[in-house]
Amino acid sequence: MAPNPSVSDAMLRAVPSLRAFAISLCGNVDRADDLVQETLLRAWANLNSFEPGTNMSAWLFTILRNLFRSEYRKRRREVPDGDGTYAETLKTQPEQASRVEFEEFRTALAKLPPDQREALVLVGASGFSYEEAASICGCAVGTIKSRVNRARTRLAELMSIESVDDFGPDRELKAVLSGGSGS
Amino acid sequence: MNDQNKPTGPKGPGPMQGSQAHKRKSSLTRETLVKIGTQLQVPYNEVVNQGVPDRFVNLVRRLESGEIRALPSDDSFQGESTAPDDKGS
Repeated sequence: MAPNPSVSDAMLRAVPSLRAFAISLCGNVDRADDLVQETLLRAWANLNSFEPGTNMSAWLFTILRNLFRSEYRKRRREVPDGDGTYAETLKTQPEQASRVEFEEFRTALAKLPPDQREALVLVGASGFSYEEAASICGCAVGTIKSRVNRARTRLAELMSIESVDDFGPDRELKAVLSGGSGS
Repeated sequence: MNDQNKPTGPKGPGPMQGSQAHKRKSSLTRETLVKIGTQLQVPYNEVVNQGVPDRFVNLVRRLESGEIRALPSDDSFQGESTAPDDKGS
Protein backbone atom coordinates (compact mmCIF):
# COMPACT_ATOMS: atom_id res chain seq x y z
CA MET A 1 0.00 0.00 0.00
CA ALA A 2 2.60 2.45 -1.07
CA PRO A 3 1.02 5.89 -1.24
CA ASN A 4 1.17 7.44 -4.61
CA PRO A 5 3.91 9.97 -5.26
CA SER A 6 1.57 12.91 -5.35
CA VAL A 7 0.82 12.32 -1.69
CA SER A 8 4.42 12.49 -0.62
CA ASP A 9 4.94 15.51 -2.83
CA ALA A 10 1.98 17.21 -1.21
CA MET A 11 3.46 16.43 2.17
CA LEU A 12 6.79 17.92 1.20
CA ARG A 13 5.12 21.00 -0.22
CA ALA A 14 3.53 21.60 3.15
CA VAL A 15 6.82 21.37 5.02
CA PRO A 16 7.93 25.01 4.76
CA SER A 17 4.70 26.29 6.20
CA LEU A 18 4.57 23.53 8.80
CA ARG A 19 8.01 24.56 9.98
CA ALA A 20 7.01 28.18 10.25
CA PHE A 21 3.94 27.22 12.23
CA ALA A 22 5.92 24.87 14.46
CA ILE A 23 8.49 27.55 15.17
CA SER A 24 5.75 29.96 16.13
CA LEU A 25 4.42 27.37 18.56
CA CYS A 26 7.72 26.27 20.10
CA GLY A 27 9.85 29.34 19.65
CA ASN A 28 12.72 26.99 19.02
CA VAL A 29 13.88 25.86 15.61
CA ASP A 30 15.34 22.49 16.55
CA ARG A 31 12.34 21.48 18.52
CA ALA A 32 10.11 22.72 15.73
CA ASP A 33 11.92 20.58 13.18
CA ASP A 34 11.56 17.54 15.42
CA LEU A 35 7.88 18.31 15.65
CA VAL A 36 7.60 18.51 11.87
CA GLN A 37 9.40 15.19 11.53
CA GLU A 38 7.09 13.57 14.04
CA THR A 39 4.15 15.02 12.16
CA LEU A 40 5.28 13.54 8.86
CA LEU A 41 5.79 10.12 10.45
CA ARG A 42 2.41 10.27 12.07
CA ALA A 43 0.75 11.41 8.89
CA TRP A 44 2.39 8.67 6.89
CA ALA A 45 1.17 6.03 9.31
CA ASN A 46 -2.33 7.41 9.07
CA LEU A 47 -2.60 8.19 5.41
CA ASN A 48 -5.67 6.01 5.17
CA SER A 49 -7.55 8.60 7.19
CA PHE A 50 -6.64 11.36 4.82
CA GLU A 51 -9.40 12.05 2.38
CA PRO A 52 -7.94 12.58 -1.07
CA GLY A 53 -9.00 15.86 -2.51
CA THR A 54 -9.13 17.60 0.84
CA ASN A 55 -6.57 20.02 2.10
CA MET A 56 -3.39 18.09 2.85
CA SER A 57 -1.82 21.10 4.43
CA ALA A 58 -4.68 21.61 6.90
CA TRP A 59 -4.59 17.92 7.75
CA LEU A 60 -0.87 18.07 8.53
CA PHE A 61 -1.32 21.23 10.57
CA THR A 62 -3.95 19.43 12.63
CA ILE A 63 -1.59 16.59 13.38
CA LEU A 64 1.25 18.93 14.21
CA ARG A 65 -0.88 21.03 16.46
CA ASN A 66 -2.19 17.99 18.33
CA LEU A 67 1.29 16.55 18.72
CA PHE A 68 2.46 19.83 20.11
CA ARG A 69 -0.46 19.96 22.48
CA SER A 70 0.09 16.48 23.83
CA GLU A 71 3.79 17.07 24.23
CA TYR A 72 3.02 20.34 25.90
CA ARG A 73 0.71 18.66 28.34
CA LYS A 74 3.18 15.88 29.05
CA ARG A 75 6.03 18.18 29.74
CA ARG A 76 3.91 20.71 31.52
CA ARG A 77 6.21 23.24 30.13
CA GLU A 78 5.40 26.78 29.32
CA VAL A 79 6.12 27.82 25.80
CA PRO A 80 9.50 29.47 26.02
CA ASP A 81 9.77 32.92 24.68
CA GLY A 82 12.41 31.68 22.30
CA ASP A 83 15.04 33.96 23.65
CA GLY A 84 16.38 34.81 20.26
CA THR A 85 16.01 31.37 18.75
CA TYR A 86 13.33 32.50 16.38
CA ALA A 87 15.37 35.46 15.31
CA GLU A 88 18.43 33.28 14.86
CA THR A 89 16.75 31.29 12.16
CA LEU A 90 16.16 34.41 10.17
CA LYS A 91 18.96 35.42 7.92
CA THR A 92 17.74 38.91 7.46
CA GLN A 93 15.69 41.13 9.59
CA PRO A 94 12.38 42.36 8.29
CA GLU A 95 12.81 45.47 6.25
CA GLN A 96 9.52 47.06 7.11
CA ALA A 97 10.06 46.89 10.79
CA SER A 98 12.93 48.06 12.83
CA ARG A 99 14.86 45.54 14.84
CA VAL A 100 13.44 46.92 18.05
CA GLU A 101 9.92 46.67 16.79
CA PHE A 102 10.54 43.13 15.66
CA GLU A 103 11.87 42.07 19.04
CA GLU A 104 9.03 43.86 20.72
CA PHE A 105 6.55 41.98 18.63
CA ARG A 106 8.13 38.62 19.34
CA THR A 107 8.06 39.28 23.02
CA ALA A 108 4.45 40.35 22.85
CA LEU A 109 3.50 37.30 20.81
CA ALA A 110 5.15 35.03 23.36
CA LYS A 111 3.03 36.56 26.08
CA LEU A 112 -0.21 35.51 24.46
CA PRO A 113 -2.00 32.43 25.73
CA PRO A 114 -1.19 29.47 23.41
CA ASP A 115 -4.78 29.26 22.20
CA GLN A 116 -4.73 32.81 21.01
CA ARG A 117 -1.28 32.63 19.55
CA GLU A 118 -1.99 29.59 17.43
CA ALA A 119 -5.28 31.01 16.20
CA LEU A 120 -3.63 34.26 15.24
CA VAL A 121 -0.76 32.56 13.43
CA LEU A 122 -3.05 30.20 11.54
CA VAL A 123 -5.28 33.00 10.33
CA GLY A 124 -2.83 35.88 10.17
CA ALA A 125 0.29 34.18 8.86
CA SER A 126 -0.51 30.72 7.52
CA GLY A 127 -3.43 32.13 5.61
CA PHE A 128 -6.08 29.65 6.70
CA SER A 129 -9.69 30.69 6.75
CA TYR A 130 -11.46 30.92 10.09
CA GLU A 131 -13.23 27.68 9.20
CA GLU A 132 -9.99 25.85 8.44
CA ALA A 133 -8.34 27.18 11.57
CA ALA A 134 -11.34 26.03 13.61
CA SER A 135 -11.07 22.58 12.15
CA ILE A 136 -7.33 22.46 12.83
CA CYS A 137 -7.83 23.50 16.43
CA GLY A 138 -10.90 21.38 16.95
CA CYS A 139 -13.12 24.22 18.06
CA ALA A 140 -15.98 26.34 16.82
CA VAL A 141 -15.45 29.04 14.22
CA GLY A 142 -16.73 31.64 16.65
CA THR A 143 -14.11 30.55 19.16
CA ILE A 144 -11.34 31.06 16.62
CA LYS A 145 -12.69 34.47 15.71
CA SER A 146 -12.78 35.56 19.29
CA ARG A 147 -9.30 34.20 19.98
CA VAL A 148 -7.91 36.04 16.98
CA ASN A 149 -9.63 39.21 18.08
CA ARG A 150 -8.37 38.99 21.59
CA ALA A 151 -4.88 38.17 20.36
CA ARG A 152 -4.83 41.25 18.12
CA THR A 153 -6.18 43.50 20.80
CA ARG A 154 -3.69 42.23 23.32
CA LEU A 155 -0.80 42.58 20.88
CA ALA A 156 -1.81 46.11 20.10
CA GLU A 157 -1.84 46.89 23.79
CA LEU A 158 1.45 45.18 24.50
CA MET A 159 3.17 46.92 21.64
CA SER A 160 1.41 50.17 22.26
CA ILE A 161 0.57 50.29 18.61
CA GLU A 162 -2.75 51.57 19.59
CA SER A 163 -2.65 52.91 23.03
CA VAL A 164 -6.04 53.13 24.58
CA ASP A 165 -4.90 56.39 26.06
CA ASP A 166 -4.58 57.87 22.62
CA PHE A 167 -8.26 57.60 22.12
CA GLY A 168 -9.69 57.06 25.53
CA PRO A 169 -9.81 60.52 27.01
CA ASP A 170 -11.09 62.04 23.84
CA ARG A 171 -13.88 59.54 23.44
CA GLU A 172 -14.70 59.65 27.07
CA LEU A 173 -14.78 63.39 27.00
CA LYS A 174 -17.21 63.29 24.14
CA ALA A 175 -19.36 60.81 25.97
CA VAL A 176 -19.32 62.98 29.05
CA LEU A 177 -20.13 66.05 27.05
CA SER A 178 -23.02 64.49 25.23
CA GLY A 179 -24.22 62.47 28.18
CA GLY A 180 -23.79 65.26 30.67
CA SER A 181 -25.28 68.05 28.64
CA GLY A 182 -28.75 67.21 29.79
CA SER A 183 -27.98 67.33 33.46
CA MET B 1 -23.11 52.41 37.82
CA ASN B 2 -21.62 50.37 40.60
CA ASP B 3 -18.41 52.26 40.39
CA GLN B 4 -17.81 53.34 43.93
CA ASN B 5 -14.83 55.51 43.24
CA LYS B 6 -16.66 58.03 41.20
CA PRO B 7 -19.25 60.30 42.59
CA THR B 8 -21.74 59.68 39.86
CA GLY B 9 -24.62 61.19 41.71
CA PRO B 10 -28.27 60.53 41.11
CA LYS B 11 -28.12 61.65 37.49
CA GLY B 12 -25.58 58.97 36.71
CA PRO B 13 -23.59 58.66 33.55
CA GLY B 14 -25.40 58.31 30.27
CA PRO B 15 -25.96 54.71 29.36
CA MET B 16 -23.80 55.18 26.27
CA GLN B 17 -20.65 55.78 28.16
CA GLY B 18 -20.09 52.31 29.49
CA SER B 19 -20.99 50.43 26.37
CA GLN B 20 -18.99 52.68 24.10
CA ALA B 21 -15.91 52.39 26.21
CA HIS B 22 -16.34 48.65 26.12
CA LYS B 23 -16.77 48.49 22.39
CA ARG B 24 -13.78 50.63 21.64
CA LYS B 25 -11.43 48.22 23.35
CA SER B 26 -11.98 45.52 20.79
CA SER B 27 -12.03 47.57 17.65
CA LEU B 28 -8.64 48.16 16.15
CA THR B 29 -7.88 50.45 13.31
CA ARG B 30 -7.11 49.10 9.90
CA GLU B 31 -3.59 50.43 10.29
CA THR B 32 -3.05 48.42 13.44
CA LEU B 33 -4.38 45.27 11.83
CA VAL B 34 -2.05 45.72 8.88
CA LYS B 35 0.87 46.29 11.18
CA ILE B 36 0.18 43.18 13.20
CA GLY B 37 -0.32 41.20 10.02
CA THR B 38 3.00 42.34 8.64
CA GLN B 39 4.85 41.60 11.84
CA LEU B 40 3.41 38.11 11.81
CA GLN B 41 3.97 37.41 8.17
CA VAL B 42 7.47 38.68 7.60
CA PRO B 43 9.27 36.23 9.90
CA TYR B 44 6.82 33.47 9.04
CA ASN B 45 7.45 33.87 5.35
CA GLU B 46 11.13 34.01 5.95
CA VAL B 47 10.96 30.49 7.33
CA VAL B 48 8.67 29.42 4.51
CA ASN B 49 11.16 30.76 2.00
CA GLN B 50 13.86 28.54 3.42
CA GLY B 51 12.11 25.79 1.50
CA VAL B 52 12.26 22.12 2.42
CA PRO B 53 15.39 21.17 4.35
CA ASP B 54 17.13 18.01 3.09
CA ARG B 55 16.29 16.31 6.32
CA PHE B 56 12.63 16.16 5.36
CA VAL B 57 13.18 15.25 1.75
CA ASN B 58 15.27 12.30 2.92
CA LEU B 59 12.70 11.33 5.49
CA VAL B 60 9.88 11.20 2.98
CA ARG B 61 11.99 9.33 0.44
CA ARG B 62 12.87 6.75 3.05
CA LEU B 63 9.26 6.38 4.02
CA GLU B 64 8.36 5.93 0.38
CA SER B 65 10.95 3.26 -0.14
CA GLY B 66 9.84 1.46 2.99
CA GLU B 67 13.28 1.88 4.48
CA ILE B 68 11.69 3.24 7.61
CA ARG B 69 8.28 2.43 8.87
CA ALA B 70 6.07 5.06 10.32
CA LEU B 71 4.66 4.73 13.78
CA PRO B 72 1.13 3.57 14.21
CA SER B 73 -1.43 6.05 15.25
CA ASP B 74 -1.62 7.03 18.88
CA ASP B 75 -3.45 9.40 21.12
CA SER B 76 -2.03 12.47 19.51
CA PHE B 77 -3.62 11.71 16.20
CA GLN B 78 -6.47 13.86 15.13
CA GLY B 79 -9.14 11.21 15.57
CA GLU B 80 -9.12 11.74 19.27
CA SER B 81 -10.03 15.21 20.17
CA THR B 82 -7.23 16.50 22.30
CA ALA B 83 -9.60 18.63 24.25
CA PRO B 84 -8.91 22.08 23.02
CA ASP B 85 -8.96 23.99 26.20
CA ASP B 86 -11.60 26.59 26.13
CA LYS B 87 -10.73 28.18 29.36
CA GLY B 88 -9.74 31.37 27.63
CA SER B 89 -12.88 31.68 25.59
